[in-house]
Formats: sequence, C-alpha cells, structure tokens
Amino acid sequence: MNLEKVVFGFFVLLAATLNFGYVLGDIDNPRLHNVYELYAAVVVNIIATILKFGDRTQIGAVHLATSLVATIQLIIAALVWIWARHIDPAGLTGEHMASVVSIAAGALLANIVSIVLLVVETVSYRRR
Amino acid sequence: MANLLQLLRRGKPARIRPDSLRRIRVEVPAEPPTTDAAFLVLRRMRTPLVVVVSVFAAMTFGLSLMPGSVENPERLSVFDSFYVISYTGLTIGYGEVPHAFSYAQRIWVTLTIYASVIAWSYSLAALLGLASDHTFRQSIALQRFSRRVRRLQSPFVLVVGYGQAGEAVCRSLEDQGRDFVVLDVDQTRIQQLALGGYSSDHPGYAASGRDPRVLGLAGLGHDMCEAVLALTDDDETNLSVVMSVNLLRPELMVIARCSDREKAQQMHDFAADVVINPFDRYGAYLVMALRRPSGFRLASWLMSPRGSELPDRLEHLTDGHWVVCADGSFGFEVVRDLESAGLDVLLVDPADGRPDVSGAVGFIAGAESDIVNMANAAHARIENDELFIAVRQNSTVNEAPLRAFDPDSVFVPTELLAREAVARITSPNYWSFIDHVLHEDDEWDSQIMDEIVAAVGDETPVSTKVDLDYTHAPAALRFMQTEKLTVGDLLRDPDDRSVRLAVYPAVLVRLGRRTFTPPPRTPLQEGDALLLLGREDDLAVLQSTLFHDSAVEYVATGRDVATAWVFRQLQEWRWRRRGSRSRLSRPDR
Repeated sequence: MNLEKVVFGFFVLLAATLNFGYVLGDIDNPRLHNVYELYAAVVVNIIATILKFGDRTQIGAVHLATSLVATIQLIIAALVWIWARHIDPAGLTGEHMASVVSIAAGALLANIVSIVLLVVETVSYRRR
Repeated sequence: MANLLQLLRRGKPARIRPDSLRRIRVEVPAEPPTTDAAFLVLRRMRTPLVVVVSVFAAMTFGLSLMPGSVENPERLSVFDSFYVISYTGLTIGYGEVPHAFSYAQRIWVTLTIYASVIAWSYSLAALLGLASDHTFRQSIALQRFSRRVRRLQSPFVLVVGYGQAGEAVCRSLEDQGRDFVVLDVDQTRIQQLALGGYSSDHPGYAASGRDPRVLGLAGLGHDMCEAVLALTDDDETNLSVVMSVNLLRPELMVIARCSDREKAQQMHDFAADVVINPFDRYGAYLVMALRRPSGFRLASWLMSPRGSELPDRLEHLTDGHWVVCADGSFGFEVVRDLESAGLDVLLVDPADGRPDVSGAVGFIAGAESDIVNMANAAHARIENDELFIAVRQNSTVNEAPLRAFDPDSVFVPTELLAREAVARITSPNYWSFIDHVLHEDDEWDSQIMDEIVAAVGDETPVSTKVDLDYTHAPAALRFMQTEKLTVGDLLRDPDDRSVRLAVYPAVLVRLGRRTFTPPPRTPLQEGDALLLLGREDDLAVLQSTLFHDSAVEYVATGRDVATAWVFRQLQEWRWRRRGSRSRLSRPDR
C-alpha cells in the first residue's frame, strides 16, 4: 500500500463528493445549497490540486489540469455567491443561486473526470 | 520521411565525412540527467502548502461559527470570515472589520494568529531548507549551464578536461577572443574557471565527459559548436569523447590527448582529427631541434602564445651518446624517436640511483617526479658541464627553481599539447603553414624566419585570414575589376605607401590550392583568401584598406583620391582633361 496514493485518492474523492453534495437539490432554491458545503468544496479542491504538484507522469499532468479547472470554477462560484450576498442590493435571489449552482456543477464535471482518471490509473496499475 | 527542419541548420553546412562510422543519424541527447529544479520545488512544497491552506480553511470556518456580540448578534458570513482571516493570517491584522468582535470571535482570531504564524514559518523553513539542498542546487546549476550554452551566439569550442592542458588551451582561446565551454569532473576546477580572471564568463559544468547526454548539454548538438577538445588525463574518457563526436556530430573537428598507443589507435578508428601524444611529440621535436634547428625555432615560435619572444637556439645539442633517465611510457617514446634519428641512446631507470653521464652529450631527466628530475639534472651538470640537459616538468609548483637552474630544454607535456591544439583550431590555414614549416628544409625555414622577423619584429605575430570577396573587401574588388592589385600593394601603409605594414603574407589560397609565402608581385584575384601574420594594429589598418576605394587606389597606384563624392567628380573631370583614366566613374555593383 502506498500512503501517497491513499492521501491523494482520499482528497480527490472528497473533493468530488462535496461538490456533488452542494450541487444536489433545486437549482434556484438557496435553502437547499448550504454555503459551508461550497466552502468545503473549494478548500478540498485546492488541497487536491496542490497534491498533484511535481508529478511528472502523463496522467499526473492531466490530473493537475482537471483539478485546476474544478478549483477555478468553484472559486468563481464562490465569488458569484459573495457578490449576490453582500454587494447586489437585491440580495441572494433564485437567479443568483441558479448561476452559483450551475458553475459548481461544471466543477463537478471536472471532478468526475478526475475520478475517472484515478480509476483508470488504478486499474492499469502494474507492479513492474 | 526526413525531418525537413533538420536540413535548415543555422551554422555552417555539415561537412560529409566519409570516415564517420555513423550509419543512422541520431539527434544529440541533451536531457538533464537530474530532475528539473521547478519540479523539485513543487514536490517539496506540497506538504507545507497543504498545511497553510488547511490552517486558513479551518480558521475561516471556525470564525464564521463564532457567535456575535450583543450589539451585532449576527455571526460573520463566510466571506467576511475569509476576509478577516486573510489579513490576520498574512499580516497579524489591523483592526476588527466589519464591526467590533465578540469575545468568542476575538479568541478565535488570537488562535488564528498563532496557527498561521506556525504554518508560515514551517513552509518558509521548508523552502529555505530546499535552497540549501545539494540536489536542488545542482539542478539549478545544471539548468543555468544548459541555458547559457543554448544561448551562445558565436562559434565556440567544447573543452573537456580543465587540467593544466585545458587551462592553457582556454587561455589561448581567450587570447584570440574565442568562446569556449568547459566540462570537468572536478568541481573545484570548474570553480577555478569562474575565478580564473577571464575577460568574460565562460560556461563550465562539473560532470564527466563520458556521458554523451552531458556532452549534449555542453553544446555538442549546438549549431555553433565548431570543435571538441578531449584533454582529460584519462585516455578512456578522451576516447569516449572522440567516439561520441564521431557518431553524433561527425562534421566537428575533434582533437584528443592520449598517452597510450593502443588507445590512440582506437581514437584513429573513430577518425579523430588529431591525437596528440605529448611524450611522442617531445621526442620528435627534440630530434627536429637537433637536425633542423631553424625549422624547429620557427615552428615553436609560431606556436607560442601571442607576444612571446623569438626562442633561443638550443645550444650544445649534438649527435652522440644520449642518456635518458625516465620511468613509464615517456622514456620509451623519447628513446624511440632519438634512436630512429640515429642517436646512440641509453635508457636508465631513476630507481637505479644517479645516472652515469660520463661520455654523454645529452641528458634527459624524464621521471614522473619533478624533484627526482631536478636532482638528476643537477648531478649531470656537476659531472659534465658541457652536457645538453633537458628536464621534464610535471607541475607548475617547481617552476621558479627550475627556471633558476636554467636547463637547455624544459619539457612541459601539457604546454606542448595546448600549443598544438590551439594552433590547429586557430585556422586550418595557419596550421597548414606551420605544417609546411615542419616539412620544408632548414635553409628555407631560416630564410622565411628572417623575412618574417624583418617584417613583423621578433614577437609572435597574430594571424588573420582575409577573404577577397564582396562582403570582406568591397573596395579591393572594385579596383581589381579594371586594374591589377598585388599582394605587395595590400601590405603598404595607406598613409604613406612607401612604408610597409608589419604584416607578412604566409599563405595564399586560390581555388582550394595553397601557395606558401606568395611573393609581393603576385596579383590577386576575386575569391582568393590570404593568411596574414603580423602586428594587430597593422592588420587592422590593412583590413580597413580593403573597404575604402581611395585607400586601395592610393596603395596600388599612389594617386590621391578624394573621399567625398563632389570632390571625386571634380578630380575625375580634371583627370579626364589630362587624359588619364580612372575607375571611379564606373557605377558600383
């Protein structure tokens, strides 16, 4: 067993599950999308991205790319939420919420690709 | 299909060499043998970065949960918490924003300050530790080296081995204003290169030349690389360099040092341009000094560093009984040469005590220890004051006492090696002239030496090649279209044509054929190349003559031509009235 792989797999999966949990529910209902879930998704995604630093393999590079995409999308979603909650005089409307959740859903897609890569890597792993 | 881009090389077109053992063209490998510095940083910084991010995340989360004060009962939103933690974690804060905190919030911010400082100092320490890490520094050095080599714009020589010979070669190359790249296994020698007081910084790296990837990084695959010198004291490394060059870049010139006959033969198999065995050469030069003193004097003068005085004739060098006191292959090589020249030679081992030199005319102290050599030479001088004494000097440490002893000849293997290598690299024409000197008879050599000394003085001249084409000599070519321009005309001073410049024409290359020491009356043709020896200033004057119509006209005919266009027209009109001809009306090409 490789501890590095455990930590890495843990964070990739956690990033995807948190992301999924946040997106779940009516897209424009703010009560169904807890801001702490979004916050946790952002943090775990950033950590998952850092864990890919310095991996010189081909699959490691693709991992890094997908994680970067997910992280950037989630940060954008968080920025939209901050704008709606604190700056926009209308406050957090259903439209804003729909936009936040759809961007986070895009990040979810990237996270799913990350998991697919993880599975592919695991399945094709051979001890040479 | 062949890669078309490979055909578009910037440098000189690759010479096809029939003697290369290459069957398939292979790119010169150049990937660094160690990891990339940037990757190393990213790898090492993973944990510290994760710690910093986690601390910030946990603290932000916690702050957003802390209950507010009585005046502001609402908890901070996630964004407000993130904002507060950002400035608190990075700068230890500047107040309570957006409003005064409750005690719970203050306690949490205090915790944040300590936790974030710990996280920062940990990652800073990790970064500093990385900077002092050996692997990391080496990979930085390697990257810097390969970047500098890649950026070289002018032709350069790759020198493998920076020992005594390598250093002597580098000094001479620097003297000629040429670029070079140095490889040596020893880190301290590379540091010596950096501290060596060269006028510019030359790239050097500590690695073995045996690794073709290292050679590739040092510029073997570079378009501007023009020659490779394998000068390490290890024959096998030199052989491996010759091999790599022959198989990967067969068009490059390669000069190798070798002290073993078997290895030298193997180098010849790989078509090394020159294999220099200093021991073997020394014997040959000694014989030459004995049989053809003028030729030896001229050749060694031309090969010595710029500005050296004319060497003295070797005194009391005569035929007769010679004693060679040497161990290792040196004695074997020298005895072979002396015997083939018909001398009566006795080889003795320095371990057998003081050699007997009674009845001898020459003595060579050629042991591997300088102290033993000095002692033997001193003994020989006591025994027989008329003796010719040659001493082999292995290191520069004992140079001063040896100079004080003043033997008739000092043999420094590395110096001999460096001189020959540099003379060959300088230009093929320059070496061909020296080679010609080495093979002509002694009277010719003596006469030529007098001529050169009369023209340029008794310090070693500088050599230059002058190409008579439209780029390098436009004015001379325009003149030559209608009138005759001779070698002698070019050597005149454009200020006063009765004065001869301190320049000597050594070789005239016409249609690939070399004429040595062309007489001054020789007319020049378009496409000729001249190898000139002379003082640096005078060579510069000669070069400028080739670019100015009025100067060419003056040195060839003695007519003063105006430099400005208006005056030239006037002058021409006057000449036409007088009935004389001029070329200047002809439109330029």
